[in-house]
Amino acid sequence: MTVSRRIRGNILAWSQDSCIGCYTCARNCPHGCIEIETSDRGEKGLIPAPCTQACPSHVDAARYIRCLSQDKPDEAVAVIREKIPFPSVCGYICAHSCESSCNRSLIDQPIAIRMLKRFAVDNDSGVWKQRSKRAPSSGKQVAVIGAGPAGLTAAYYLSKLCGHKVTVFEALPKPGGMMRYGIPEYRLPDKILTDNIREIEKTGVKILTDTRVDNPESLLREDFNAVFIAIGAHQAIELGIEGEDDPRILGGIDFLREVKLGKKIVLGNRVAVIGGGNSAMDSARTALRLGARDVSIIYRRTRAEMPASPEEIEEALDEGITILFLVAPTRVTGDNKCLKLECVRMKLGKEDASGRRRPEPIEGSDFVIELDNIISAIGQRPKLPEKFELDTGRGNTIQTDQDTLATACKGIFAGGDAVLGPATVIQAIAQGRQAAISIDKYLGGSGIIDETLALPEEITDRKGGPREGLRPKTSAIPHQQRLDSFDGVEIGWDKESALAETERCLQCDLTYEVEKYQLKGGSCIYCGLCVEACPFDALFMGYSYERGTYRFVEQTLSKEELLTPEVRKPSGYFRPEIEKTLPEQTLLINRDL
Amino acid sequence: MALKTELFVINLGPLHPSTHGVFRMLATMDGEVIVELEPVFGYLHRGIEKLAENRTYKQNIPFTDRMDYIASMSNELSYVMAVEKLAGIQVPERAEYLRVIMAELQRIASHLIAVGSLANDLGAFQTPFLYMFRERERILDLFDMVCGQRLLYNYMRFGGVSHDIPDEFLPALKKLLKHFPGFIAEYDQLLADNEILLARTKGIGVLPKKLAISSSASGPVLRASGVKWDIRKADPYSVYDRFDFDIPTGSAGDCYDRYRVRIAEMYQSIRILNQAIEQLPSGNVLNKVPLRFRPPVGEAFAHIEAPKGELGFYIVSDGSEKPYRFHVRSSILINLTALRDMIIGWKLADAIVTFGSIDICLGEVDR
Amino acid sequence: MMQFAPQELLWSGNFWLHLLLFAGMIITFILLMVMFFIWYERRLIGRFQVRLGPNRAGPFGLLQPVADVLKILTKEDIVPSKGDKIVFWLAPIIALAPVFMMFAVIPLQGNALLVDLNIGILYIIAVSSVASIGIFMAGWGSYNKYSLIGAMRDVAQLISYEIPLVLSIVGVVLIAGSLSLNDIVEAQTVPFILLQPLGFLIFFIGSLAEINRTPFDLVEADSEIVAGYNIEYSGMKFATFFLMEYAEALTSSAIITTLFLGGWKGPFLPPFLWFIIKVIAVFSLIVWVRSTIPRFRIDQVMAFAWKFLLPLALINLLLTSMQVVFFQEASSLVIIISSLVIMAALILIWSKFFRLGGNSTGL
Repeated sequence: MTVSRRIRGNILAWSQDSCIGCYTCARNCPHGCIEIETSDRGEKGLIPAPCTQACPSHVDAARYIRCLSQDKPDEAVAVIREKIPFPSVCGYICAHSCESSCNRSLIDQPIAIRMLKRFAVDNDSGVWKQRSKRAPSSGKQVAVIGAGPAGLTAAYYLSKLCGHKVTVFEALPKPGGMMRYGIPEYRLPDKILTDNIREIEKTGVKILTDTRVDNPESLLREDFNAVFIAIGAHQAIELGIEGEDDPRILGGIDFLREVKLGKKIVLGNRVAVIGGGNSAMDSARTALRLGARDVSIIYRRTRAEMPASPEEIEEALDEGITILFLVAPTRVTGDNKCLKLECVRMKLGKEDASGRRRPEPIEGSDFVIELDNIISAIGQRPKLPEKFELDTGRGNTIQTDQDTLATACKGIFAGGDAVLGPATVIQAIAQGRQAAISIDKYLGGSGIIDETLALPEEITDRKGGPREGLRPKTSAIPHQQRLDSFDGVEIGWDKESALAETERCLQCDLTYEVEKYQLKGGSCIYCGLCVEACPFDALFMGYSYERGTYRFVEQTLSKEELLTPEVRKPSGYFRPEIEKTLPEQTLLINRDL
Repeated sequence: MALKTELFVINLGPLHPSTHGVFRMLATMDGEVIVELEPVFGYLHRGIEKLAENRTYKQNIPFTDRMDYIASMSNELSYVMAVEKLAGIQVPERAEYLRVIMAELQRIASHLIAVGSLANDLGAFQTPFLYMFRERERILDLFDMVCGQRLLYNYMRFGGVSHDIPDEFLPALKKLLKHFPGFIAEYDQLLADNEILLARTKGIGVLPKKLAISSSASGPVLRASGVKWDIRKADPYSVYDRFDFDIPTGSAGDCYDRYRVRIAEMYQSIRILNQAIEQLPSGNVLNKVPLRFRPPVGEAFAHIEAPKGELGFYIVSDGSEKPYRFHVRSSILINLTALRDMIIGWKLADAIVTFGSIDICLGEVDR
Repeated sequence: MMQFAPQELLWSGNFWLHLLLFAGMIITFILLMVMFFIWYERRLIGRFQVRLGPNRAGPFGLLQPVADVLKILTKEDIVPSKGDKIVFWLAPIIALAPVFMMFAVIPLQGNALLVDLNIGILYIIAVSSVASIGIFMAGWGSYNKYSLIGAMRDVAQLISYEIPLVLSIVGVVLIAGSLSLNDIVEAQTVPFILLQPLGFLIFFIGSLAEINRTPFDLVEADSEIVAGYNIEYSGMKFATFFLMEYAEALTSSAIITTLFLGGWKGPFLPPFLWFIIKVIAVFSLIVWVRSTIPRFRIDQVMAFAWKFLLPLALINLLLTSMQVVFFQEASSLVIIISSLVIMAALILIWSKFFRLGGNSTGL
């Protein structure tokens, strides 16, 4: 007869090195049996927080949130200013990749980092200006083509911190690029942008508007030592369907630009916007403000696949815009009265290379929509003048070296949407920084464009973990006002809300020495929820088992013997790979056997 | 001259070896015969439904484990299905298969206990019980392998299962499935060929078809009465519609039929498991859901065929991170409602067997 | 009636000294054997139930009974306040004493018995029934419904099973021609189990019912009436009942050994050892039955006794009488074969008529 028997023991291991004492584990314990005590005696340190790492320009979000929590918005702006010259613009319209990587989103909602930034810039008194310094003149000249986020950022740093004389050429009447001509007034008020650009101009950057550059090499032949091309992506992509050349069909980005330029655009009552990106949302909402009353968005996939940011979709729906999902246009016919858009319904098929499910038409599901105007906003691409003679790649973008942004032509650099294809403002700013570094190096400089604007930080003790609950509500202006004007929709936070939001931050960048971490005796049920809750992988749960068969052999193993590595076998439970990497001072909290 | 006799009331439980927990039956006896019976429960009431209203959705998963602790996986499955329905969370295909595998293993484990404890109630001094426990132990080993726990697993998550199975799991499961039909056949033969067992269970504690339906019984208790009703077929959830299996039913509705239905269901579970292993796709097992997610305002009910019957969870959300209402449609509690009708007129010993054949777990009855 | 006289003793010592010494030996023997049986049953059942059984106290867990006894003796002694206190106190003693008394006439080896009564087997039957009075007293005195049900069941069971039990003994007595157990053993040139297979079967089943062992353990039926008659007992008094149960099992094994298995007879080994080996063998059979067979219901128990065992016992008695009267000279081989054939035929035929029904009882 064989009797199988088993030796087992559950182990909850805690790594002091990884733990930051954020209390998430304790909050998520169903039994409330985790006790944590942090100490201000031990060593404190700073590590990059996930939000900082996620930001293309590496703005230290965790730090400026801490500044805000100490009621110092000036310091917060100084922290932001260390990395980007457009804090206000980012406060209003940043695509906030920091929020998607926020550890708090594992718990409930990410910290509203953009709203906090907006609060900071709205309450800024400009302390940073006193601490900023200008580099001595280097005697070199740089030309920047395009006064968009990338171009202006590069110009700002090249001028201020590298001492070059920078001239920015802009084809349109005002500087700002996509920030001005791609984003409607109600999202980013002109004043905010103008303020930011004025700060850039103060550093000695000369902006020549209404000046089109046809050949960058000709600039090099003039006095300029280097040229940075940041012309953006301003040409709308055509729908590629029959009957597209009707004048009542507008390109999304052209439409937005012409509205911003103040041209009179007459729209009918029924407008359809084709596309699912941010510019489609902007076009639809702008059309609404221009008097169209029946605005719909046509998108060939579902909401989950929409590239537009969720807040914008939400606001668009809120303003009464209907979105037709899984519908694709096939043909446009038109008579004098109206346009007839023939559509077909789609269904989602297999996943394609981008990980999204490819839409496939459903046979025989055609239908016709009668419209007055169609705005096609299915994407943009850079529009390069013919004499640029640069290598272009996918979507007419300029080919550059990935690290230096240098083109094949010596002395000419390129960046922003012209290189990336349509992207976000913060990505463009990051490209501008990158370009500034490599242009400075090309011109014999050090390539260092980091500056210290904020005062050194004194780290105080962590008190009792972050606040529970969701982010404060963001309010918007009333409906009718939205439809009638281009007033900013979103209303910034008051101090109370901002402070409440900063308390939610886990402060992932602070490392504390956690003095005590223990389980209240006996009440742990080893459910493992704390292990799953921990955003920092500081906890791990393992268990060991051994099965032996034996024949009338009886033996007793002491508790110590039971836990020896020979009898323990790690198994598939809870990230066993972490067990190997656990530091030596890992605390093993053993369950009684 | 007739003897003067008197009825007396005997209090079976709450501390009684055969009440499978802390159940109480107030039996009015005429000698050995029960003439009236009043079931009393609530001795294991822990207020789980109320407790759940004060905990986040995720924190409640370990709580559901503690209802029917014989079949924790099924409880979890029902609960996470209800919340997924409420919040519209998608589950990866591999996770669905893993859930089915766990639920069916759990069904076998639970039925083993039901069959074993039936023999125990018959007075077979634990021997069949311990043999069943030995086989159940093999299944618990598998559970241990996937989630480190043997009884209260906390394995299911909203949007999948907490983690993938380890490499050694599938070979071990295949080995188990290869040998298991033999074990069941052997035990079935040992028990069902026993004259005393037949005499003690055949025709005992009959639950007529009509009464079974009108008392809303479910699970093996209902099927033993000849009603072909199984949520897995009647309202297929998860991926059950992809498997080929039968619903065993009884005819008489007595204790023996309930025993037979459970034995037959174990074979069917093995069939499902074999198919599930074959079809098991690869891929992701968990769609991430934030720790403290908030389902939209609304309500949802999800039910599954748990080993002991139809187990349902009714969740109402007020949009906060904690459920507004957490109601359990307990399979066993409702099966127990027919207990009085099944027992009256039978002897004390029959009452114990009939009660045992319902297969109860007080953790779920009282919650 | 008690016909033991000093001059009949083979041992030439002082009568009282002899009595005292041998009684002491027997009691020591019983206690030691009970201790052994407790351990042995638990270990054996452990094996039957794919587990180990007690294995911590002492080598192979041999000291487990000692630990048990120590535990039981140190428990608080509780007397139900509403119980009949005198009856409650007396019950364990009355239950235990007869079990010890029975051993007085069982030969441990040739002539090694306390008193060789010429009515030995009759004495055993008479005395063994007294234990049931003790059990009934316990059930009555406890003022507990469970224990009362247990006690009632015990009495009903005892009355029913006494009859086939005695009738099966009569067959043995007829063949041996004596009521003295010593003589019965001496008469077994062939173990009576072979000459009286049906009688052995009936006696074995009857003994199980008599000592309340599975499948007739309705008296204590732990899954139904918790612990039956001894539910209110604790401490020393419970230990007495515990001792009584195992001593009864030992006595029954010893009687079966004496009546059917040739008692102390056997080759090579000393007779005393043979006796113990056979007793343990019978006890193992009892344990085997306990660990495998479910319990009867009370009406099934009664039906089994009256409808199955009693007719068979009567037929067995008739056949044995015929054998003794008419076929005295027949060779034992013929008798063995014919007995086995007759037993098999009878059981098969009776099984056709008799079924353990499971019908609702009224209402």
